[in-house]
Amino acid sequence: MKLLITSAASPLAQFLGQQLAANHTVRFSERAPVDLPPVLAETPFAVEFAHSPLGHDMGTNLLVRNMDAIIHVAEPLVTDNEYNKIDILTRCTYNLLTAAAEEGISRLLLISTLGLMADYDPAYRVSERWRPRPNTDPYVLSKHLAEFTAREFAREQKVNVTVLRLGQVVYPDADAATPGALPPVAAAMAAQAVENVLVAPAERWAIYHIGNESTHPHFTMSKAKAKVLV
Amino acid sequence: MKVLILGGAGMLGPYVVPLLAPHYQLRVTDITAPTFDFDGEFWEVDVSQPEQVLAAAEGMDAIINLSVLRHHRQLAFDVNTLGCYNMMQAAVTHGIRRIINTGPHFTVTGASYELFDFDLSPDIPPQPGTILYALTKSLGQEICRVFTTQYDLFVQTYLFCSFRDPEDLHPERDAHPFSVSWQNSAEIFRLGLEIEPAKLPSRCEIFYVLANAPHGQFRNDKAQHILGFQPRDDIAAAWLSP
Repeated sequence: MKLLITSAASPLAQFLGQQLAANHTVRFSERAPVDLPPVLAETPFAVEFAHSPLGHDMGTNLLVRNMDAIIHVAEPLVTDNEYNKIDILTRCTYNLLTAAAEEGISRLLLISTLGLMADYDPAYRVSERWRPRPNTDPYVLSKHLAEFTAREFAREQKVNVTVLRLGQVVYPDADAATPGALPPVAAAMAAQAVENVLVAPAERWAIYHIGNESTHPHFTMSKAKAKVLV
Repeated sequence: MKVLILGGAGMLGPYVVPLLAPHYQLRVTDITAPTFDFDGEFWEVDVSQPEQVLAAAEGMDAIINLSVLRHHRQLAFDVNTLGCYNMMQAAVTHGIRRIINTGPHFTVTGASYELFDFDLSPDIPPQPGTILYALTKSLGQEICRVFTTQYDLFVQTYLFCSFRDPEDLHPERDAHPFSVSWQNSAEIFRLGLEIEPAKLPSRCEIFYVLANAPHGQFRNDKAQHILGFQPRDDIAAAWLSP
């Protein structure tokens, strides 16, 4: 498969790209120039980088053209302020999906956050069928608005969209994390979920919660376990 | 009451501003000065610029957002989506609890409803679809809603579609079932400024503002029952047989 992975400057995008490049051709994109880690030069399949502002011009069409799927990591740059975060995850998500629809790309994976569900009373077991409860934190709100935007493309059957709401991503070389509000999710588990979504039949609109149930039992992961964490 | 009007020199401004001016201390803002007769306070404000909105909102008791931009991809997000974020941040910063937002009917009832359904009320899950104008306004509305879940402020959103001039109805054309006269539409803003927040069912309420159109597709009873909106029959000729 030919995959486009956005937000190449983010650790998650780089980790996913490294894992997916074992089986797929990967094109990274970012709104700013990025020096990809050297390890990505050693992958079995080609890895390339394309600088793209995800604007509303032909550049975004060219970016997505001939891709089999898009993994929209949708992470802000460290330099982004609150307004940039809202803008990027709404406008650029819209531009990306519009270009995907125009270029006949049938599948987009949107990486979101379980932070959308963190406001529920821990006494509940919250699944994907519960209504998101975003707060006004710009990161959480912008992820919610990205889902809102993508959902309309799925509703109109322009692009099939799968949303992976991740807990707190833990990377292999990270120190033991302090338990937080969100369940931890090993980066390798997130990458496996992405890989499994890519090889499964496309769903018009699907959401999966990905995290560690044992530490945070109020988030149920049963749907993901049945479909994308097998 | 001191009222900030964002986008006050636009399409609705000539009808809303004169109606409110005798009763409220208005600060009208827009990217260009009003072309209609208004000798009150005017500020040049671009709603996409947070510092401008923040400054304009200082000392105000209420905000009315009439700003809109339909077609340009960047500007539509800047005005319709980020503009709402800037407005809500300004409201929180200055403790302004009464906000009136506006938008097109397909902020809620996009093609997935309008093509298929009747008896549509504003209290249905939004399905704006992917049309730029509808989606950017719906994102703005969603931002407003999320802020009301976190802060003690009240957002009323008035949705419109087809504005008609009673003097220029063209009854030979098929009238849109979501129509209202310019004059009638402006009357709801004073009702929204006067209603006790406690009388609103929640901190975020959406109202369809339209005449008593006989089509049966869109309902205006919520605006009547809660706000006391009185639909005029001034455009009824648009759907009457000759």
